[in-house]
Amino acid sequence: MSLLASPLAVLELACAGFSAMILVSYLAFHPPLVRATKLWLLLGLGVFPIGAAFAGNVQGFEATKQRSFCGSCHVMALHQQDSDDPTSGSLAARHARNAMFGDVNCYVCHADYGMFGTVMTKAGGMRHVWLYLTEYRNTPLAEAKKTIRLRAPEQMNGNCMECHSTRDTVWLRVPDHRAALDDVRVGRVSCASEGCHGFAHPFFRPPGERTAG
Amino acid sequence: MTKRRWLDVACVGALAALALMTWQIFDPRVWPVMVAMSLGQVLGTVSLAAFAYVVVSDFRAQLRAGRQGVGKKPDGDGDLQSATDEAQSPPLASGPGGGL
Repeated sequence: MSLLASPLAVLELACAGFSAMILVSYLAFHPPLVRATKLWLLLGLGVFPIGAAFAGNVQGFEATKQRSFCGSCHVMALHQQDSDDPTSGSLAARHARNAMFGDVNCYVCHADYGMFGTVMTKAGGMRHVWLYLTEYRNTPLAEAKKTIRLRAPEQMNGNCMECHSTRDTVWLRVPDHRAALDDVRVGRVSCASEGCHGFAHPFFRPPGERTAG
Repeated sequence: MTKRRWLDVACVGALAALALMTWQIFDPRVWPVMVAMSLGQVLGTVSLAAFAYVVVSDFRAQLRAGRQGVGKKPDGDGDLQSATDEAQSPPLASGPGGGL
């Protein structure tokens, strides 16, 4: 069971289990409110639940990085299917087969970097939830394919350059790279565009290039 | 509401919070994770606050009783039950210093 592979999940379950035992015992026997009872309740209502919440938070933040988490909103199902497909040649799928990206390839490519990158990414994730609730909850998948797009596509090259620095001699040996170097670095030319490395997702189109189907 | 009832509510609330917080382990999708990190933790915090309220008010009642010279030691632990609890809750069967 994958649950046992996560020490945090085990810690959360253990804390929750101890806490539940104390609370159920209290509710069942209703002992007098003496000091010992209060100390037990402090464990059951304070110490163990806080431990469970702490472990659960870290576990939850890790869970939000998983591709399956991103794909649990139906409008992202196609993106997940493509990344899961071992025969797909899309940029997303090829990176998902790289151990550095693996099951968290959505997060690695779409997360903000820098000191506040994680916080900004999580805040952006809340924006996704809000948009899903208000706009996309009932959107058919076919419609979602045409309307969902990157909010700041010009910033995506920065994420590519976290690994592909554009300074490596092998990279610079490619004539197209050399020719578009400045444009790539400032995001005027996207790495993931037609004519370069192709779109990251096979059905993705920038706003101006949406297909009818 | 008696202190005993406050504690019952806190225990039930904490059990519900624990259930919400552990749900995300078995079903790590958007809603379980969000509920665990929001509703679960708010419920847990409110339960802890209710417990703290009972403990603090009990402590204040003991201080008051001590000052008025009407406090008594119902067990060997040096704890006093508040007048409210004694008046509104029937005595519960448990040994001296009865823990859980």
